[in-house]
Order: sequence, then structure tokens, then C-alpha cells
Amino acid sequence: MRGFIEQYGFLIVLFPVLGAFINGLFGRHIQKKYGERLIGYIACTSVFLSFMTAAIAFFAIAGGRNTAVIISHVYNWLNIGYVKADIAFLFDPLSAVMILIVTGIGFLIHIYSIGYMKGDPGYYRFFAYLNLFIFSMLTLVLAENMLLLFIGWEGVGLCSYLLIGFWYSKKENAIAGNKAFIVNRVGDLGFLLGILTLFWSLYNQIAANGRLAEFANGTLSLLSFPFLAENVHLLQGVNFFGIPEYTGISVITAICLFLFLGATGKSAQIPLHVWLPDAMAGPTPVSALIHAATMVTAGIYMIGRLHFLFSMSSAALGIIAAVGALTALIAASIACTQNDIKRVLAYSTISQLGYMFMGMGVAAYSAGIFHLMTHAFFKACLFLGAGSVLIALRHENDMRWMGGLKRYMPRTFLTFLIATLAISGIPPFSGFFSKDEILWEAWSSDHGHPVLWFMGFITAGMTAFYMTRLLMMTFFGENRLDQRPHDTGGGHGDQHYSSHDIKESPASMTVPLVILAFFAIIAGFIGVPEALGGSNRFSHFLGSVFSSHVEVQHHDPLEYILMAASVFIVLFGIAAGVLFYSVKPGLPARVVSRIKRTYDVVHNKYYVDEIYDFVFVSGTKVITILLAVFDQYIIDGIVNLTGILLRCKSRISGWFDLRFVDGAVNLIADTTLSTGSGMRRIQTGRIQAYIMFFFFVVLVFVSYKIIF
Amino acid sequence: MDIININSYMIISLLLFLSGLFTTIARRNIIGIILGIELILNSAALNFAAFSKFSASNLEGQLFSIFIIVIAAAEAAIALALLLSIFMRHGDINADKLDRLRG
Amino acid sequence: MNVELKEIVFLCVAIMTILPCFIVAFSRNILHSAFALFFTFLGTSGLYFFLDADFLAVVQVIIYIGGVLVLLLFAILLTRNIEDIKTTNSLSLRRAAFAGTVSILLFVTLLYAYISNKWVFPFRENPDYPYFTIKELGDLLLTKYLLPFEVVSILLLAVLIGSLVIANRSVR
Repeated sequence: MRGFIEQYGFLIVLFPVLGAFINGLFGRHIQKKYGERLIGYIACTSVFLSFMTAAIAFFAIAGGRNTAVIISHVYNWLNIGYVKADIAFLFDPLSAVMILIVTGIGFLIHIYSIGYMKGDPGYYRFFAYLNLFIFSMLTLVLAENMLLLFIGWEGVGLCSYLLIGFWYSKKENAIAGNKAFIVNRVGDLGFLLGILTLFWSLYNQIAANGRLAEFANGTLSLLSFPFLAENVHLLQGVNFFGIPEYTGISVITAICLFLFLGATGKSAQIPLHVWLPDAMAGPTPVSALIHAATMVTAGIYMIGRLHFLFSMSSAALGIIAAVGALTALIAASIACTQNDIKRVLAYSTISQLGYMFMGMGVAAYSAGIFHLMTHAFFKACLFLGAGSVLIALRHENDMRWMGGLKRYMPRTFLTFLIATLAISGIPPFSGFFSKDEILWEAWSSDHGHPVLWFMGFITAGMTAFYMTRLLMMTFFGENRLDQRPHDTGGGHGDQHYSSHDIKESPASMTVPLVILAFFAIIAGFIGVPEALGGSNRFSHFLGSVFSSHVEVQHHDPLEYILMAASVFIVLFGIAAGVLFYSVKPGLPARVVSRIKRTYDVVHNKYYVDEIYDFVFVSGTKVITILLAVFDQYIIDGIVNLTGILLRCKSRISGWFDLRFVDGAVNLIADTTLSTGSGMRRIQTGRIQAYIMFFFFVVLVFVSYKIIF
Repeated sequence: MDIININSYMIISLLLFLSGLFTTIARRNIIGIILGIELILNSAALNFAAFSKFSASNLEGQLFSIFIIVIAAAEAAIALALLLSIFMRHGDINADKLDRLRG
Repeated sequence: MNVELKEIVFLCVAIMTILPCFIVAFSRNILHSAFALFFTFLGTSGLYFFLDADFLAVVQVIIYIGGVLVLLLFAILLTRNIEDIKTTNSLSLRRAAFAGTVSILLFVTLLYAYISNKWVFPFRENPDYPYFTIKELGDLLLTKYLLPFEVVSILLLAVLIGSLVIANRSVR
């Protein structure tokens, strides 16, 4: 199996791009001639084949005894000086887990999309983009070097942009796509700077150690991950542009922070989190696949992939953990106040991603990846469930007009409930194990701190609260679809749609839900911590990747206390949710009126968008106006003065030209002209006249010769 | 009285040449001009032959006369072709009217 | 006066050569000019005989009279309607006056030069001058003057083709 993967590992990446190729180039024709079904089959088949290959790769890795790394070289891509990059794919436990998540969940969401996108004129376009996304994501995950990873990184950003603005005829969708893209650009700039700084500093160090000769035969690649893992220690204690060491900024920290800026862009962390809620403008399967399960986790994956780099800078790790915890807390608080079902889930995603970053930041890499995996299952399930609800309600997004859907859509409700319990962290659902591991590491790890734990702890309670709120408002109580105000022109959905028309979604949508819910239940069991009698197989599986990190021993009475505390606060959150939105429906309004000012701030997402608008957009505008004034009065003044001076000078020289130079020229011309018109008389055009002249001259010469 | 000598031939050829020259210049008709040219060529050929006999005393002068005759024939043929061409185009062979090259 | 018959004949031939020249120059009828040219050519041929240039004389008759003159007659007939032949050989009086002046001046000048012995031609009677020239001419043409001979033959070929092309184009 190892040989197979070494030779054919690229097939994992190839199948989706083939699907994208077929659907993208011939999709319009296929859709017209053979109908939507074939498009869906092509897309699903390509992802399924990819999934099967990924499964083979996974078992090849898992079955490997000694070294669990397989590199599949495809071809030599770049060879410029010491920059050498191959199209090569790196299979190790980390990437094996990721490709299983990407292709597995991707496949389920493809199937779901067949039902969800039914009847859309851009059906083929959707699936082409989706396959392209899978391709890019797999490239990102399997990349053997930084450059290939960057290509995948940009590729998923592009697909995200394309899919957010999929219904581009509506202006706000297009704007949301642009916003996502532009915010990601900021992050990508940081990422690129990180790569360049890494390359530059590492190259300098290698040159300083006199090891450049190793690159002569062209087998080593400076930016490939195995090489980096072996050689980053050279960067230890190197200054960044001569900044003294006591400031805490070494080149390692600079690289890590640059890369982390990229991660905040891609994974929607503060301060670049603003694009993700707007990205919900895209179709719901896209939200599930890209903006919940896979793409947004790219930042976490990248940190995991480069953990050897991040482990060397405790300053960078501290910042990551702090940003992650802060994001988790703030996003969770916003989620409590939103009414749009998909926005709640979007903020929930941001919050959970904050958890993962917190895990990464305390150097608990396997815990972060573990939560990434469980989160991928239950958040995809939540999003797909929300999509199912939206289909049933004809794209009515506002939870205030939902309710009572339990009765109409039992399968969606059940899966949604399971996913909610999973994300809230009720044992024994998957979310409990992963979240709890992060919380424990946040407290106990070398890089951890009780404050971090406390922030995560509060977030856990809020998560339970807003998820219960979501569940209550959507599925319990009476249906309020008919109560919604009819004059809201900007509202979503079909206004003439009433509660009698609600029905359960088709099997192509519910089957993936059921499968995902199943995994949301059991996925946690592969990582049961030792403290609960498990063996934490997931952590051991990834251990060969994160070997540089020393795992904290899990035999501490404190762990049980923390675990009990988190379960308690989760239950408290659920109870509060039930109390607020089911038992006493009037309570939320009263609480809100009590803390009106705080509520407004949170409800408006802490005015981050407005601040950005004020600082960056208006700031840019103000600078533009200042520059315009500067241009108008100073630059234009100089230009105009030069112009006037030049005009005076040219007047004078023009006069001189006219009188003297032209006079001379005209004199010559006139002389030539008059001479010419005199001489032209000779040119009569008649042969005999010429003969006449000729003999006249002959006569003259002969006479001359004879006389003298 | 010995009149068969170089002087007689020179006078004869001079007269031929001058009449040819006059014809060439004074005629309006292109054919007239060609007649004049033929006269001039003839006088030249005669002069060569005379010098060949009386002055150089070998046959090379005669040889040049032969070449002149050949060239005269060639010239006449080409002249005829050009003449036809001009006539077809202008419907006239008046040399005075062929003055497109006038400056 | 010891006048030989040979000299009388020479004089007659010379007059026969020169007089038609004036007809060529002054006649108003182009056909008359052409026929006058016939006599000039014939007279020239006779003068060649007096120079012991038998081959040249024969060639003169064959080519000039049989070729060139016939060609010129063809030219006259091809470019003119028979009826208005008579009125088409006018002289340009201004040019005629000028040409006459130049001619007479040249004649006078050269005659003066001759009489005043400014130009002296060495006169040699060659005892070896051949009586029949054809064989000698042939030898010269194929030995010493082979290249000019060939060049002239190429010229004739070119003329043959060129005149055809030119005349043909004019028809089209």
C-alpha cells in the first residue's frame, strides 16, 4: 500500500480537478442535454474516488510501523537557484486525518448539494466550483512544501470567493464575496511575508554555516516541510532586522506572527473575523463545507504542519492562544444575540475556531486537530440541518419566524439535536472530549494559563446557551412563519409561503445528515483521554508528527474537577436557554431591556465592521481627500507654474523661429523653387528637344576644339 | 583625278549624318525620326568601312560596320514594336504629343 | 583630265547616295521619304563595293533594304490609314530652322577643320588588304571577336522576344 500511495498518491488530488474540469468546461452542455443529475454524479464520483484513495492512504499510514511518512513526488516544478519546489504530496498522520475529513465530509456535502441545489440554473457551475475547492483544499493539506501549500491556500480562497458570490445577481452576495476576498488578502499578505522571511532567514543561516553545497545536486528543497523540520533550529536566536533580543522579537517570532496573520485571515480570527458571517450569503452546503468544516481550519492545519516552528517561539504561541481565547469568547457572545440562523452558526464557527487556536497556542497540537475533526462533523451537520430548514422554509433565515419545526421535519430535528449536544460538549458526544482536552491543556500545559482556561470555560457555557436558543427558536414551540411582518421588503425568502407548506427534505439531504450525526456521536471515542480510562488513540496517532511536543501526563485530580466544572456550566447554559426561550418566553426581552446598552454593542458585533469602515475605509477616503487637496494646490501649482514659464519661453522662441529661422528656410526654399520653375522649361518631355540640345553642345565643343 | 579616297568618303558620310540629324530633329512623325536615325547609323557604318580601307588597313573596321548594321536592325525592330504600342495607346504617333515627362 | 570610268561611276553612286537624303529630310510624304531611303541604302552599298568590302555591301542590301526598310514600311502602313498618308509628315518649322542652322554650322566647322588641316588622318594603302573579305571576316568573328559576336547574338534574341512582348502588350 505504501508503494501504491508513493506512486499514485496524486490521484487524491487529481480526481476532483478532473471533475471540476469536466463540469466547468462542458457542464453547461451536459446540463442542457442530460440534465442536472449527471452533473451531480460526475462531481460526487470524483470526490468519492478521491475519498477511496484517501482511505487507502490513511490505512497505509496507520499500518506503517516505523516511519509513518510517505512522500509522493509528481514532478519537479521550480528550480531557480536555491529555490526548488516539487509538486509533491506529503502523507503523514496529520495530513491523512485531514484528507479523510476533507474528502469524507466533502463527499457527504456533495450528495447533500444534489438535493439542495435542485433546479438552480448554475448547477454545473456550483459543482465545478465545489470540486475545484476540494482540489485546492487537498493540495493545501497534502503539500510537501510551503509554495505548494500557498497555492492551495490561495486556491481555497478563490473558491470561497466564487461560492460566496455564487448567486452573484444579488448585490449583497457579490459584496460579501468581495469582502471575504479582500479581508483574506490582508491575511495572505502576512502569510506570504512569513514564507519569504522564512526562506530568506533560513537561506542566510545555511549560507553562513557553509552548507549551500548540499543544494547543488538538486534533491533538497529549502521550503519542503521535512527539510524545514530538520533545519529550523538554525534560526534559534537570530535577530530580525537587527531588532535587539530583549524586545522578544526574534526572526522566529516574526515568521510565526506573519504566518499567524495569514491564519487569522483564513480562519476568521480577530481581527480578521469580519468576513465569515457575511460569507453566509453563499449556498448553505458551501457554508458547511468551506466556512465550517474545511477551509477555515486551514489556519489551524498550517500551524499544526509548522508546529516545530511555532514551538520555538513561546511569544508567538502566547499571542495565538490569547487571540484564540478572545475570539472564542467574543464570537460566542455575538452568537447569543443574532437572529439569523446561519449567522449564529457562523459566529459559533468563529468561536470554535478560537478554541482550536487556543489549543494550538498552548502547544496542544493534537488536541487542536482533534477538535478540528469533531467540529468538522458536528458543524457540518448543523449547517446542513440549517440548510434543510431553509429549504423547507423557502430561504427564510430569520429564527424569529421559525419554530415548531420538530413536528414537520423529524429527521432534521433529530440530527440537529445530536449535533447541538455535540457542540455544547455533553458527554459522551464528540465535542465533549475534544473541547475538554483543549480546556485541560489550556490550564495545565507549559504554555497554558488559568485565564485562558477561564475564557474557554465561559465560552463553553455561552456555546451551550446560544445553541439551545437556536434549537428552541427553530424547532420548539409554535410555528411563527405566518406572524412575520409582510412589509419587510428586504427580507429573505418567499413571502407567500405559510406553515402548511413545510415538509421534510428529500433523502439526498437527510442521509448525509444522519451520517454526520452518527459521526458527531462517535468521533470523540477515538480520543478518549486517559483520565477517563481511554487511551487517547488519536493523540498517539498524531504523536509521530508532533513528537517534538512533550505530552502532559493526564493523571491529575484537577482534571476531573475541571471536567466536572465544564459539564456543569454546559448544563447551566442549556438550562438557561430552555428557561429563556421555552419556559418563559418574555424573559429575554426583559433581560435585554435591563442591559440595553451592552446588548446593543454585542448585537451589533461590537461595531467591528463600523470601526473598520471608519478607520480603513473612511480613513482611506480622508487621506485621499488630503492627497487630492495637496495635488490640486501644490502639485498642480508647480505644474501650472512650469507650464506658464514654458509658455513664455516658447512664445519668445516661437517669435524668433518665425522671423529668423523660418525666414532663412523660406529664402532657401523660394530660391530653390524659382530656380526649379525656371529650369523646368528645359524639361519639355520631347526627345527631339533633347537631341537638339545635345547637338548644340556638340557643336560648341567641336568649335572650341577647332578654333583653339 | 583620284577621288576615291578618304576625303570623299568623309564628305559623303558627313552629308549623310547631317541630313539624318536634321531629319531626326525636325520631323514630327516618329517614323520620320527613325528614318533619320537610320541615316545617322548608316553614315557611321560607312565611315568605319572607309577608315578600315584607307587608314587602318585591316578588316576590323568592317567588322564594326557589321555590328552597327546588326544593331540598326535590332533598333528598327524594337522601334516598330514601341511604335505600335504607342499607336495603340494614343492613337497617334506625333512625337510632340508624347511629352508626359515634361517638367 | 584623266577621268577613269571607275571614278565617274563612283561619282554617280555618291550622288545617288546623297541626293535622296534631302528627300528623306524634306519630303512631306513619309512614303516618299522611305523610298528615298531605299536609294540611299543602295548607294551606300555601292560605296562599300568601292571600298573592296564585298560582304559588307551584300549585307547592307540584305539587311537594310530587305529588313529595316521593309520594317519601316510596315510601321508606316500599320500606324496610318492609307488615305491620309500624304499629309502626315510635316516638319516643325521652329525646329527645322534650328536643326538647319546646327547642321550647316557643323558642316562649315568640320569642313573648315578639314581644309585648314587641323585634323590629319594618316593614309596607308595596305598591299595585303584582302580582295575577298568573307573568309577573313569569318575568321575574325570566330576567334578574336567571338565574345562581341555572341553578345550581339544574345542582343538579337532579346530583341526578338522583347519586340514580341512589347507589341503584344500594346495589343492588349
